Amino acid sequence: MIWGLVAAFALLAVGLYGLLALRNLIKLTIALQLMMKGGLIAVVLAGDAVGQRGLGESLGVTLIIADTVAAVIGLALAVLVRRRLGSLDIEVVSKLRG
Amino acid sequence: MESLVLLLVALICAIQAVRSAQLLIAALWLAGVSACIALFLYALGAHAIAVIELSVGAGLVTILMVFAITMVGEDSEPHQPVVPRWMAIALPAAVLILAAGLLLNAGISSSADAAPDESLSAVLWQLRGADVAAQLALIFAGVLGLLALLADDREEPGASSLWVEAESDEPSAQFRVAEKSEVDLEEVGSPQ
Amino acid sequence: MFNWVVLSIAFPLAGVLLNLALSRRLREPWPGVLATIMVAGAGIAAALTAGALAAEPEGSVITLGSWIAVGDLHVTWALRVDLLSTLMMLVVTLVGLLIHVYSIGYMRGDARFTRFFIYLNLFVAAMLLLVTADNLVVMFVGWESVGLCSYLLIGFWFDKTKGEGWRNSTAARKAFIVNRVGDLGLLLALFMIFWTFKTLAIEEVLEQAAHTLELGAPIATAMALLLLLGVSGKSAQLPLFLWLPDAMAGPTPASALIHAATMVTAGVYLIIRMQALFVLAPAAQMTAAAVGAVTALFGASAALAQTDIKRVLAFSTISQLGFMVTAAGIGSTSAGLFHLMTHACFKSLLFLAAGSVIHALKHHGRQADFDAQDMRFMGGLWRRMPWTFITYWAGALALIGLPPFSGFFSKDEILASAYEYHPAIFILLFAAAFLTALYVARQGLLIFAGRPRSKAAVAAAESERVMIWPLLILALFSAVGGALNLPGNGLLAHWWEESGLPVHEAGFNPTVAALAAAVALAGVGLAWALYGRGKADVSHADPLEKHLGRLFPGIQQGWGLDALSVKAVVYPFNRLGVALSRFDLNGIGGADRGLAHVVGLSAQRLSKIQTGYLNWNIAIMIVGIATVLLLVALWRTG
Repeated sequence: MIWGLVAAFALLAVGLYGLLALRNLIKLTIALQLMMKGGLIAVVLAGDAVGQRGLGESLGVTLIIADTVAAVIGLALAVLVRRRLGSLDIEVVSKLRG
Repeated sequence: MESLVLLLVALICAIQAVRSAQLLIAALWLAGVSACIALFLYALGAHAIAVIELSVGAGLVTILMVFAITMVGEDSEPHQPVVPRWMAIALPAAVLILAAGLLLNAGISSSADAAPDESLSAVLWQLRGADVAAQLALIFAGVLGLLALLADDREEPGASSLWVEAESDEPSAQFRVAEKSEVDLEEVGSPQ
Repeated sequence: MFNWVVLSIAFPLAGVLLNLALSRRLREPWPGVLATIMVAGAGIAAALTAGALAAEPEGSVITLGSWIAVGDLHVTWALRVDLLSTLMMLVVTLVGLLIHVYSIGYMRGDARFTRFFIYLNLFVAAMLLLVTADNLVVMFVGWESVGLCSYLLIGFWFDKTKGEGWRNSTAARKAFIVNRVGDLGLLLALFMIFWTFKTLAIEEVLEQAAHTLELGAPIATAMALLLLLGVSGKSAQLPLFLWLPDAMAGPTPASALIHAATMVTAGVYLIIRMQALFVLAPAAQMTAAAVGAVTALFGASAALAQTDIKRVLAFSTISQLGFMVTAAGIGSTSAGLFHLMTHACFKSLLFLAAGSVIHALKHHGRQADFDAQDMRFMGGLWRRMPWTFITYWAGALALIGLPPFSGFFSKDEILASAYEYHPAIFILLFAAAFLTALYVARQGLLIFAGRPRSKAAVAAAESERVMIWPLLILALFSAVGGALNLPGNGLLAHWWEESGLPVHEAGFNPTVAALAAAVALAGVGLAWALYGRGKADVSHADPLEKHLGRLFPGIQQGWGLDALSVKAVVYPFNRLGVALSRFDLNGIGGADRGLAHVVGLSAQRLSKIQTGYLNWNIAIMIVGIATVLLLVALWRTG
């Protein structure tokens, strides 16, 4: 049980590492997904811990949907950036000012 | 026991997803993470959500990923990370240690038998009706965003985006005004 | 039918609005004609009011509506019709009307012709409000409004070249600022009156004062003295007279109307109106008498040495106002008002005649270093400007106080009252009367006698008719105005008694009158001996200077009081202002600039963090998360 939560935090940490270290937009989206998965485990386990599994699961459903929408938007953004700027490197995107 | 193994495998898959150089491989490792988590949830007894996670997280998202990657093509990862590597490891590690330490200190335990369990559908439809509405709105917003992002490009391929325009432009008028007002301030500020 | 009084104020106000509205349509001289008609209307309304008053001598109060009602404070727009206010109205409208007519000629060709008449009309309306107000706050509105008009008209030619415009606007500001000191006194008096009597309606205040306060009550003395401060500002008494000589920078008709005939007499009016308060405060009465008498002597002596034609008249006005303040202060109110009325006629006449001379010289003078107002450039004008000459001397004789001219009767009433009141006051006034004769005769001789002393004076010609007619009418009034209150059966005194105003009459004192007339004649004779042969020239020293020696420049500078005020008040005040502005610039401003600098610098430094890299943004975010977790952990353990 407690290890489930620790694993959730570990996933969060791996995702964070990805966000810090990676520069490819699609990979950033993947790192974001990893963090969300950690969150999913945590929410379901939290519901389990307080004895309201249904509540935890319903929040989990919300999380999955948000997660998916985030993935879709992130990917669409990546496709668009690639098309317009010819790269997926966030450094290229970062240089845009105005 | 098998839960722990599943979690461990999920973690390994996650690390691989972050580490792998190729996008497609990373996407597949992500699918692995999703699958492991779905199995873990199933083992925990949360069947409905396990199924949703498996179908949406491992299925739909992976398909989208593969689709997007084929559209974009592989892109070699530049080697220099922006943030120093030690920081990229230390910061998440600090978060992990702090959070886990707090958790262990608090000593949370399962109390599944404490309250009468209600099924997901019952909670979702009766207790959390607002959530459903919010989810619908979220999906709708996602679709709209997607359409806006992709449609814009197709309809006006010639008209280059605002971003490029902004880059090619001279320093904008706003900028010039700001510079001027700075000068004015100095003039005003100086004692006569 | 006392409602005419409302119409009387409404007419000039309508003139202001009409002239404002039509300023683009009307061409010279029609704005002046319009304004004149409006003042004539006001005069007719005032005359009708006077007619109504003859039927009901006790007068009445006309309430137009409430203005302020807060707690105990009730201020109503109420106008008071009684003998005092009606006589003031008649003086203001009559003199105002003649000066309006005169101005049509005097201001011919001025770039701001319409504006001048708007100011004049506004002044007449404000002055009428001041003298008819039944509430001290309403009166204060009029009091301040006439001050505003005075300011506007002194600085009327603010755009003249060669620094003259600057001098004009400085004079205007000086008048305004010096008057603030007096107005502070008046305001404090109003506060004190409200605090004591819980009302500001003049009638109630005076009644309550008479019934509740004892003779010599400190509160009454304080009120009267504060009122006196206001009076000395508006009526140019010591020590606040400073603004009036400089106020001559304005156009001469404005000087005649505002700074000789009407506005400056508002202070005298105030003392007469609030007489019941002064009666309760003998100390304040003594102070008023002393201030008035000293001012009378001071003004007369300063007028003696002036070379500017208008400055002579300005100091003369100060001196004559001193007579009036003395009379009103010692309680002989009808004498004060009588002199106020005759003075309004003959002093405005003198001003207008001087204006006629200036006008003539200005239009013919092309000489270098020529000042159209400097009497040393005049001389011999009696042949060239006969009407001006005759009318001027009518006014001059009235001012000198020779029988049968009006000034003789009014001044001698004051002298007789002073003789009864206190010998010192009498001696001061008597000396002032002698000097008056001397300086007026000096001025008259310098302007008109002898031979012309400049090309402009040679070329000067009589002014046009529109300017001469008002002179003639005023000369008539100056000559026969004494009939209003002849010794024996004084018409004014009779009215005064009938109307129930407080009376304290000294009556006519033949000895004093004979003495005063003799002294006046002596003054004229001395002037003739000194200036009769037209000896005063720019190249020569003033004949008087030979006899007075080093005293002469002193009195020319008004006994140096102006310079003293600059040294004692203006200069320290400027120093304080400079010091405070330095503190503002370097202290407060420095702190501001420092703060702005710190903010700007830190923003500059901090903006380096804002690289735009997603990774860095997330890194900072994670640092935040870690910090929060750390705090939670510390909180848990500690």
